[in-house]
Amino acid sequence: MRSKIMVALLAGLYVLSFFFRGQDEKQLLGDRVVEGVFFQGGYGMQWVFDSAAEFEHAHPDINAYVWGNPRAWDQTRPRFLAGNPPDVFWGIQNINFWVNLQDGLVAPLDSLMQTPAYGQPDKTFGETFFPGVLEPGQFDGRQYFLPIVYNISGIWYNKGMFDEHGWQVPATWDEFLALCELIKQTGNGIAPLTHQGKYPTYFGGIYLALVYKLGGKQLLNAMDTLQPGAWARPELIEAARLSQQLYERDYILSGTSSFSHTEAQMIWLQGKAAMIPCGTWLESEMINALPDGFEMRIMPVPGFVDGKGGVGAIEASSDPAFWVPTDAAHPDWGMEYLRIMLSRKLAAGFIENVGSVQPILGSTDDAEVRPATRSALDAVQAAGGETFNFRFSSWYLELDNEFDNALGALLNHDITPERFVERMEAMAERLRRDPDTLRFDSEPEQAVTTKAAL
Amino acid sequence: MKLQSDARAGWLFVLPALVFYVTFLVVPYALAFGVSFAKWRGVSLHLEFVGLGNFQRMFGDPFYWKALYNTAFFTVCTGLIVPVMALYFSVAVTRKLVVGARFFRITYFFPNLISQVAIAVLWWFALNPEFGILSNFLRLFGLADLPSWLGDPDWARRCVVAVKVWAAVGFYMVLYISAIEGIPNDYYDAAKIDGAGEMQSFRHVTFPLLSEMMKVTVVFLLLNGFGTFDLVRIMTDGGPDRATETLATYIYENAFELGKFGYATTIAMSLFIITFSLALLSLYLQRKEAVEY
Repeated sequence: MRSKIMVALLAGLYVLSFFFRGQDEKQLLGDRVVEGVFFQGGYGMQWVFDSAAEFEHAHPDINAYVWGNPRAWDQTRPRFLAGNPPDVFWGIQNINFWVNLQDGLVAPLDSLMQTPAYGQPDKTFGETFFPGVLEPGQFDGRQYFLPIVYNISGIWYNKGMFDEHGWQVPATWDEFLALCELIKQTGNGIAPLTHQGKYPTYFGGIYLALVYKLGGKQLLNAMDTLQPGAWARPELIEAARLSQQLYERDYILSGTSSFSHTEAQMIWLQGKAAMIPCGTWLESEMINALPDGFEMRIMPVPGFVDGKGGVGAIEASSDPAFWVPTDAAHPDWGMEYLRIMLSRKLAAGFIENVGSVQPILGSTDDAEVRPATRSALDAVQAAGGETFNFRFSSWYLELDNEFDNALGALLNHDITPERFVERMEAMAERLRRDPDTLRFDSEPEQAVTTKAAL
Repeated sequence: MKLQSDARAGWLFVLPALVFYVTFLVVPYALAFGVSFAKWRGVSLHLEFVGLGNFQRMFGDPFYWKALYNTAFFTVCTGLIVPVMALYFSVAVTRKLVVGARFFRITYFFPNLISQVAIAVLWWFALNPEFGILSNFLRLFGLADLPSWLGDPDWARRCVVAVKVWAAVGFYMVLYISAIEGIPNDYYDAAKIDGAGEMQSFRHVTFPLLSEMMKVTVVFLLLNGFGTFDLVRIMTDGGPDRATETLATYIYENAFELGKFGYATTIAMSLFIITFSLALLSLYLQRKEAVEY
């Protein structure tokens, strides 16, 4: 008897499941749907929903179905394997997304770049970007990926603390060292510098800036394109020596090597250290932890009067992000979505919503840029538009991983500067010999940014 | 005739479990075996047979050897430390050598109620050199110049071992306690009459009767150690400078970050061969009948 009841119950449940089941939201929207999937991270999702609304406004006959998740990449992988990907996609940054190109999954965007810009019919879409930001998403002269944000990286300082002590922002490396000494002597226990030690790549911003300022654009390009011997050049050894020196002279807060990014940034906000390397996302990342009246300002990594790179040159990059899958149901709608999402109008909304700047010309005039980011844009102006950007970290993830590891070991004094470059050159050699590694050889575009651009 | 229908009924009962086992275990393993001979980026169905290429690459990959070395280091250290500590504590608790034995029994088992991820996060905080509980505790005793724990390659390795031991001891203690409590009191009484103290009872009664259980647990620990992933992934992410990289974290890096699913599967095959051999060893050790009193 009891088993009969059980069977009846199970049968009942089965029948009910036909009526009460999850619905596929996308199918509910009908046949004419463009689907966008986006990495959900520090930027939140509002900017995505705004772009969907704008798309539907421009194309009332098409519904926009967009969603995001921190694990968007893992969640959509089975769909890519099944040949049923979304129409526009951004997975995540720190994975080797070039494998999608190698397997022929990424649609070229060259035709999109030639179409008139959304809301600015007198310009092509390609002409609306900051100079130089499109190149990192190109391969073999064709455009495959488009950037999401324009990041300026350097050393952030606590303005209130600097004003209070009368500390001056240094321009050259010698002045920087003198400042560190001054802070150490007179700062009442404030350490001159801390960094996100668990992820040495943040200090890499200082290291690579030193390399650029010593060796200039030619060296940067040789390193990015894996030219034999480039990673063992004397400028790299010198920059490694200068990096270690900061530890030897006790300018770095003790315990730094194990701090995660949020820990180090929090400690900096608490005033235990005067400076920290980071990109312009710092302000929005820490916005909820900012003490009242805290003012953060950026300075370029100080340079050398006799160096090949400008003393005040500053790192600015726009990592490749968005792409349109070849197998998508409507690749042309996906491209149209990008044209609208990366328009001047929505880029201005992005600044207001997220606080970060997208590399779209004019967008910074249309919205109020937060003071920290403003100081970064000003630093680009002050440098006469001389920005630089190492592209190996997005082109060769394995080289970037080794850079991270070897730099951590260098800062920990586990290896010498000579051994550091030896390891880097060995990894470059490994990639040169690896037939699976996609090789890039493009020169960076002249990234001189005019005042009007910012 | 009777036998045959019994067999048929048997198959019927086994079938559902067998279908699951074959679909979700045997088939994926067989596929993985195939993938380990191919170049596969894991984003499309484009697969290219490369013969022994992946294996050649693996044998020449210094990071692979480093990961293998670290994995073996963690495994051997926990395999040695955990049984000794678990034995020590379980004897102390069962032979009532400490006050509050019940309290310790529960306390030591506690980490087993928490997930590995929570344990990793907990210790990651505790080991922070600036505001972590460990450094601050040591500073109470006037110790300065403390290491940066997870920021230092040598200390990071030791810390991972320590946390693994902390998390595992309680479980093995429970196993040993039940084994010790199974030993009839007569044995101890007899030993006492013969003039044996607590040390001698342990040497001649407890330890010999526990040795079977010890062997099995050591193999368990070895199997467990080779799969080390979650603790390391969260506490150190394999760093600093790959000092705590294990085979499992290196597989993850290759598959999910670098897009080298084929190569990652090859490394996974090598891990499979190691753990499979250990499993065979455990079967071999368990072939003897258990001690009966």
